[in-house]
Amino acid sequence: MKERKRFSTEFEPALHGDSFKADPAEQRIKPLDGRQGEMETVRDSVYSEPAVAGPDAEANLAEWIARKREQCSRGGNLAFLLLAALLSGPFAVVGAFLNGRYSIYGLGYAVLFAPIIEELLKQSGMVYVLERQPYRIVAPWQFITSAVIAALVFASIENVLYTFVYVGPEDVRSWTFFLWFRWTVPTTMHITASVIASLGLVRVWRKQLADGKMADLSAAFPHFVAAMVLHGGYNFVAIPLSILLIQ
Amino acid sequence: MIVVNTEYIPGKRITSIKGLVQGNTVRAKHIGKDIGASLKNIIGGELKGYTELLVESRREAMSRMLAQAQELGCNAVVNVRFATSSITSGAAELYCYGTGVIVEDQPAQASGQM
Amino acid sequence: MEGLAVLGMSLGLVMVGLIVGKSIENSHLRNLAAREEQYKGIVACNLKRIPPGLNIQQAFLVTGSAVIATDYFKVFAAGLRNLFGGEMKSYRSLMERARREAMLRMMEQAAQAGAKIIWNVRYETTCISGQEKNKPGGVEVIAYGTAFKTA
Repeated sequence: MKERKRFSTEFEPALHGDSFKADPAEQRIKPLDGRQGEMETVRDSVYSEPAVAGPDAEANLAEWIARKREQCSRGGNLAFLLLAALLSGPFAVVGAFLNGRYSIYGLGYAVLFAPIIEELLKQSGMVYVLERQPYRIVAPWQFITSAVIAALVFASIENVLYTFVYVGPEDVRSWTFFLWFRWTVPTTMHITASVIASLGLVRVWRKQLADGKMADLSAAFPHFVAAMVLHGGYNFVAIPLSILLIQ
Repeated sequence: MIVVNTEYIPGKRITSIKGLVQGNTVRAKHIGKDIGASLKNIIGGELKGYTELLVESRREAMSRMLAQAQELGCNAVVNVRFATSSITSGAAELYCYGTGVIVEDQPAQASGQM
Repeated sequence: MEGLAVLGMSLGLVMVGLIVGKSIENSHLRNLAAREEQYKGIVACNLKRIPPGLNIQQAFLVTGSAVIATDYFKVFAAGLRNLFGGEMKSYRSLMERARREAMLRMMEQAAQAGAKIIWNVRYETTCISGQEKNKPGGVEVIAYGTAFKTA
């Protein structure tokens, strides 16, 4: 009986001249979905359709960014970017652990899979900002600074893990040399790779503003690959070498 | 360029049919959106990352079709159809095709004809 | 070291896919271009309504289908693309080849019977899964339409 009532024609908006009303079941799911954000409204605008070619197809995104920029304070923007950069490091560590199913490949894992996931996730904070709140970014140096911060956080966590979990004092010949090495060479490598990848994000950001389209990460592809190759190449040389030196 | 998914355009007359025009694209979102989508699968609801993927793909396929139509010298594409297929996980193929034609304004007395 | 060996073997297969797959694709594309030139005179469109002025002697269904396989390089390139997003060019060319091949086979049927017009063309696409889960083995495309023999 209840079913029949729900599907009866009295709920059809077209028959009553009403506007669309969500089904009660859909209404319950609504809080999970949230409402259509401003970003989606800009994206779904009919003037962005190639077949329509409206008067201001490209101005759409630029206008939205300009409007949002006025609403945001400088301090708030910087704090948000700092938070994004700080969170990327731990996120990359978690990602590296979750990616552990590939560790059956041994050294192959360290050379191929680990650099891919780590380099991508070290930039995750800035990618989020770039895709969801691009108006918070005003200059390219913000990408590079964030990359350095994220890489430092990631390298620090990695160093602490190596020092206290993976390598014990009985495993190394010289403890001071080990600490000195960990905090210079791999840390510098992480920072360099991240800065290279962040240059790719700068390119994405510039392209986004020039084209008036949403950010497309594929423009950063060459930079990310360069960072991954550097990271993988370092692992390929350093891991066998460190095993030889330590034991 | 007039683009419609009806066979004929009201108020216009098709003077010549240039043939099938089409555009396709296979696109993917980056791994972050894939992870987000797999998390969203737990609770249900709209997968916004993939909605965005479909919007982008549709526009890309459409603009390729329009480029073909322009190459043939058409000023309208009629009977446009979209088709999607899932070629691999996390990627969408969008295919868009229609008939490229040349139309001109129809004289008022001849309405109802082709 | 064992891991490196497994990895090296997969990289070898990717290289074979790159070299052999690419040459097969290129020769297929050349072949398609030549045949398309040959059937240039046939008009295909997806309109349903038949223009009243046409003097049709005979109408019949024509179909064409093609199954094209991926190679290891395409799968690898697409996997990399899946990390960054953006267009998977390797799969796009695969779909395009399958569609053009199916279309040409349909046109060949029409031409054999002496028809010059194909009306109401429709495509259907299916992806055939490969041995590994979620990895495509190939794509199947079928094109069909109604051919007209005009006086």
